[in-house]
Amino acid sequence: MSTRRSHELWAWTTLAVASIAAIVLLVATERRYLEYVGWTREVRASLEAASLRHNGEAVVLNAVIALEAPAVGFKSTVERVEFTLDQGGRRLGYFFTLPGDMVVTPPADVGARPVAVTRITVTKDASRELAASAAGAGGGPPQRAGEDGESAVAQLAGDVVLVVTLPRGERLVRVPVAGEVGMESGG
Amino acid sequence: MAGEEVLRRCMRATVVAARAVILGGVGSVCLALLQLGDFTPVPSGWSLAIPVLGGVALGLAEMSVHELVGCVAFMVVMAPALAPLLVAFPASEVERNDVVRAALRNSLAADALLLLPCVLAGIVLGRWVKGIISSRPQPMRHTPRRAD
Repeated sequence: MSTRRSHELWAWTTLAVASIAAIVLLVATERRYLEYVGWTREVRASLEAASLRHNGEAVVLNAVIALEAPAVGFKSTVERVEFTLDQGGRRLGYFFTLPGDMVVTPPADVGARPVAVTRITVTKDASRELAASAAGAGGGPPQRAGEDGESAVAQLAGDVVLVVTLPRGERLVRVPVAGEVGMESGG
Repeated sequence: MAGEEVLRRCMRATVVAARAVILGGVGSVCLALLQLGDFTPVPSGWSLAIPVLGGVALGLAEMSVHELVGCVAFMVVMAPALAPLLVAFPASEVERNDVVRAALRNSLAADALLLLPCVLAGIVLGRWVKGIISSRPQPMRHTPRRAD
């Protein structure tokens, strides 16, 4: 075989190796990417129960959020819950949970079910945020049930912030959550 | 004779174009992998080894300088155009967003600048290897001695 033909053979072989390596890497990467895209489409958060309980001067927010996520092999952890509370067009405050404000109950058997439900129980002292918001807006405290003869509710709207662990990094994913918060007077 | 020459040139042009297309494809895959770095099973920097390998292939090939330049130029133009198709073809709602798409395009343009030195380094490496192969002693051929 002539040197020229040998060079050409090596050149085509190297180009073929580069192409095959590219295709193999792309297929492996694209599969995980599609799983991630599918996961972000399927993940849902719903507010199962929520109440704002006045206990003297203290106002405690209790909420249970159900997070439904397809079990596709990504490890995800709940970073925090961020939300605003509005009542009758008035902003009651912006809230976010600290690690001590929530208890995350993972699903019992992730592998057996296509969709795993994680429950997030939030218990947060909201007095400071409500007071700051009321002072800033020039309004009073949130309306409680029975004060004007009707049941008072507030609207919660926000995100459950998840950290998704990918093969070579972590990404924050925000899952919207919304619902009504009952206003209760405590004893 | 002229017909043979035209045919030879056409075949030559086809071979060069095939190389350019393959290199463009390899380059676009590399850009797509850089965009999807978090999902790649190997560190995303390793995907730069692919265009280096493509450059080596060009360096090893029997090509003139202007053919080489043409191949590399084609890759630099083609790769950023193809890479978004590979990344965003199964687009989620986020990728359909214009702002995100513009950011992706800008990022691709920046990544495309990475391809050029990789391919050039590969070409230099390929030419060096080719020089080594060429300088090896060739097996003796039976050639008739010139009569003095």
